[in-house]
Amino acid sequence: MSKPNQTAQPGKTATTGAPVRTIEPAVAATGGLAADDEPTAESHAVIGDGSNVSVPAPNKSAAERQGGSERSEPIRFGPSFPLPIAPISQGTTAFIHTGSWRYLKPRYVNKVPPCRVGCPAAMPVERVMTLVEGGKYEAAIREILDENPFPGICGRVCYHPCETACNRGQYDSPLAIQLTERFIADETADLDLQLEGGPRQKESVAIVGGGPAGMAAAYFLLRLGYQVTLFEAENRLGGILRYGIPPYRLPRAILDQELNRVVALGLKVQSGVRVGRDIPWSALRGFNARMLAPGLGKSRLLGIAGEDAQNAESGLEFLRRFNTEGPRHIGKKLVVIGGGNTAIDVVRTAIRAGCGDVNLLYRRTRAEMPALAGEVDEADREGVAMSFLSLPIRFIVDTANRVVAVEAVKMKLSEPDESNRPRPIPIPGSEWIIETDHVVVAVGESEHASAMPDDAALCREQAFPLIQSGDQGEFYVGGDLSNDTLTVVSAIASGKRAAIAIDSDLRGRLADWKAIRVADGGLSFTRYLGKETPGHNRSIAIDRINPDYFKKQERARTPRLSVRVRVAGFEEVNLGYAQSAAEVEAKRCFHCGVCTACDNCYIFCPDAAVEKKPDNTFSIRYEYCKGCGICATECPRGALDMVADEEGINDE
Amino acid sequence: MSSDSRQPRLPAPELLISGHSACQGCGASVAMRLALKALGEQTIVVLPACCWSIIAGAFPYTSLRVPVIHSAFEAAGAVASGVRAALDITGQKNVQVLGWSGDGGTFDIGLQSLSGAVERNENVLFVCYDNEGYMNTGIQRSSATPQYAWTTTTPEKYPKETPKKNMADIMAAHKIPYAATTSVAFPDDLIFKFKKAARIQGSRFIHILSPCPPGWRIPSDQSIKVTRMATQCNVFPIYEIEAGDNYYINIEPEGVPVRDYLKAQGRFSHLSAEAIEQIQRRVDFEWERLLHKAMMKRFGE
Ligand SMILES: Cc1cc2nc3c(=O)[nH]c(=O)nc-3n(C[C@H](O)[C@H](O)[C@H](O)COP(=O)(O)OP(=O)(O)OC[C@H]3O[C@@H](n4cnc5c(N)ncnc54)[C@H](O)[C@@H]3O)c2cc1C
Ligand SMILES: Cc1ncc(C[n+]2csc(CCOP(=O)(O)OP(=O)(O)O)c2C)c(N)n1
Ligand code: SF4
Ligand code: SF4
Repeated sequence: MSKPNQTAQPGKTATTGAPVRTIEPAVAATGGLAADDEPTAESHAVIGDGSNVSVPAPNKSAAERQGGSERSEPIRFGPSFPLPIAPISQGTTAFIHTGSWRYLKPRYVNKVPPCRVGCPAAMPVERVMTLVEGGKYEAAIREILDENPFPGICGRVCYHPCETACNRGQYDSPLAIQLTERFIADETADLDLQLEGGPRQKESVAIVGGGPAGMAAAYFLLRLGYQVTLFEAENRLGGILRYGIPPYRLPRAILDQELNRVVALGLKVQSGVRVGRDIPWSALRGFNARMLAPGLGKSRLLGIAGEDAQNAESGLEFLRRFNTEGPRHIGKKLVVIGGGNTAIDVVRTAIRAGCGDVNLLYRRTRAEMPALAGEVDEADREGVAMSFLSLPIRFIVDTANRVVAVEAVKMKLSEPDESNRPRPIPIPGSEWIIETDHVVVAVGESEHASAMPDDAALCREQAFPLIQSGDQGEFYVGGDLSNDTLTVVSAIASGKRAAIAIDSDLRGRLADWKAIRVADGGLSFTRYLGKETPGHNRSIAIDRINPDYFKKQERARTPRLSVRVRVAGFEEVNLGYAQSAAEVEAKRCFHCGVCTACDNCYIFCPDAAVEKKPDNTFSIRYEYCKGCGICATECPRGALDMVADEEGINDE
Repeated sequence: MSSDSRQPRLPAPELLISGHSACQGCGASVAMRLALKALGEQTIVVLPACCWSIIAGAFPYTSLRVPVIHSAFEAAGAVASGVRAALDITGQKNVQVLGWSGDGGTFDIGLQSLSGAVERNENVLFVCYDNEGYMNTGIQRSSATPQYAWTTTTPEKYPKETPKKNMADIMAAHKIPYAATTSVAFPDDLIFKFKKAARIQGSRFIHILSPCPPGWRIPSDQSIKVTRMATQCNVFPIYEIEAGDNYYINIEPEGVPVRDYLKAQGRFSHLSAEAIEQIQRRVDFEWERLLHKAMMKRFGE
């Protein structure tokens, strides 16, 4: 960063030296005791009988001694300013603007921490960690709810890309952001938060689909003051959160509480209404804007013999029945096919329903499974038998059209396919047979026939995707139907995007999509509302973190229910953090790129050029800053940058 | 964002005036600034010839908000004793006298007057800000210069073969009430030690490791970081010696190899692997010895 020191630039303010030459040599010699010919140190020596020497009285304050104020200007001795009898300083160095030495200057530039960039919902993780450290949970939940209506849900089922992005992961282990988020949500669950909305708008918006995407869109639109009506085909809200994800991962009390928070903002819910079946698409014409968030309701099939047997079903059907009708008997032996979240939820549900022999078949290896790795580990612990590189080739059925066995073949991996994963190919002659009482096929979902009007198509030409139908016009869209990443938090983020697009269209203003995106991450509602300015909208890498200020410390352990207890029922497995663990985690945060007023820049400045203001912020007195760069290097978290100094020495 | 609950880490008075003429990234200015923050306004500084006599400002200017008396290179111990006597006679016992010299003025030319003063147990706080060379006159070696370090008088061809003198031990050998080492890279420790020293009567000595970017051949922004490494790798341990006998180590080392510290500085860039290995062995040995001293029972217990 720094080059060797630079000397004063010609033509700028003089540094030391120049004014001294106006001293008459004869008088300067009154000190007369310099040990050598250097005109500096010893020529100041106050030596002699002392009677004519006025050493400033130390018991007075510095300002008193200087006659009330410090003289800070070049001094020229002459008749109006006689030389003192002994060489005693007459003024200070403050008039010497050493800023002219500088070629780079420090600047406070707060960055976007990578955790926030990693979170599709743009959760302000770093700010939240500061609040948790200070025990300010209500302020923390408000910060979160400004970007994500479902922290209790995400705190449980999110795939936490924030943690993958966390800089601390490259140091010891990433912050447990998800568990901290969950802790805040649970800790504040009973508070009546009274979320403020914008001014009431007269326009109405229709949303189709009550999963996380539709509910998030509704939430942000309600906070913007719109009249929102939501159509949901099922009897209850939640989509996959209710009908797919099992309660041992997402307790229904948490789900209900967070969905109710949205409804309480004034959402009109039309449940049990499948648009396109129970009411026509044209029924939505009266709304000022319409949004589609129908998810992917249809299960894919393998396309092999016996799939239509009585005791064969899809993963979604299986989970849906469990989640609506409660546990049921499914026999002693079960074969489940697939490697995604659905397959893992099925096998773990089956174990809890008392099925003693659960076999998971997946055609690639564990490393390629699309399911959350942690969930796969838990399934393993709970006793699921997993056969990797195994592909079913037919279901063997009896005369009553019931599967009695699955015939499978062993696979080997070859070069990557279009999904960039190694392509599995069968090994001839490796077939074998697994007897079973029940089969579940969970190999992915596709869109439901009734997801959109018949003539509609997805269009991605705008800053946001749209569904266009010749008959029905345009629909905003979000969730699995239009997302590349099929996850809850991406669904939430797409709901926020739709709400912002709808608001800016209805209000006739152009959203500045670049400014409301946090670096190259997700969209920020706080920024859209103007409650936060984009600032320096760039992220910050680990190389700007100064490890000297952080002791290595692994993340706090995740407490879980013992395997013995959990498989006996549907109780929540992950027990979450206690307050102490959440605080420990919050303290581990580097606060990447964000000034925490730790004082380092102020402490280490050799030129006293960093000023600490009463509000705990800092400013740099550029007329003195020599540009050494210590403040930027010693900032533990990269909140200061050294930038080219083109504007001259006194700016800001 | 700033957190409002935090206590300021630095005592308030700002007694260093900007516009002074220290080089970019100078550790000596940080040292003085922090020391005076700890001691406060009721302090008189005695400055023999050294970089600081320049930093303090050329006549008729000063960069300190406390009185400074400049002395001859070899005379800090004597001048400080005189100032002390004058203050005591005029009833100003509460005023701190701060003898502030470089390593040349402490380890070399000033050693006799310093030794005399502390042997008399003068009520003075003596400080050596140690930049490991005669930096003011253009980087000549002193007896504080580390073994094999480049200076203009110890070029690669004529290396300094002798190790650095142990000044804290020399001071402890005078059995003064308080001697300590500290470093500008550990401001909390530095401020703590100055506050503690200010409460002790008699001679006190504080040895501050203080980086000099031009002399150490380091970029100015690295000066604190490199200085911190000196302690992390045990080249410059931070400890206190009470009553000349009782050693306390204040900062745990972090097991950083000496090599990392040497490699960070241009003045060591010519060192061979064997030389580095030799320095490491010496550092390990000295650390071991310091540990033994710190484990010894206090005299008189
Ligand atoms: C079993 C399973 C487990 C999963 N686990 C996780 C996990 O742990 N973490 C994670 O991040 N992601 C997980 N996912 C993915 C995640 O659940 C989805 O990406 C997310 O729910 C998509 O949200 P959505 O709102 O787009 O759709 P959905 O959640 O599918 O909701 C769509 C809603 O629209 C309704 N609807 C559809 N058509 C109509 C219509 N015409 N009229 C009225 N209503 C209609 C549906 O009934 C449904 O309620 C999982 C998925 C499955 C299947
Ligand atoms: C008797 C005498 N010899 C030589 C000098 C020239 N001189 C002034 S400062 C200085 C070097 C001081 O070195 P040190 O005490 O280490 O302090 P630094 O400049 O490194 O801070 C020298 C040699 C002098 N002023 N007086
Ligand atoms: S250390 Fe803190 S601020 Fe940095 S990425 Fe991790 S959670 Fe975010
Ligand atoms: S050093 Fe501390 S106070 Fe200074 S910018 Fe960095 S975080 Fe803020």
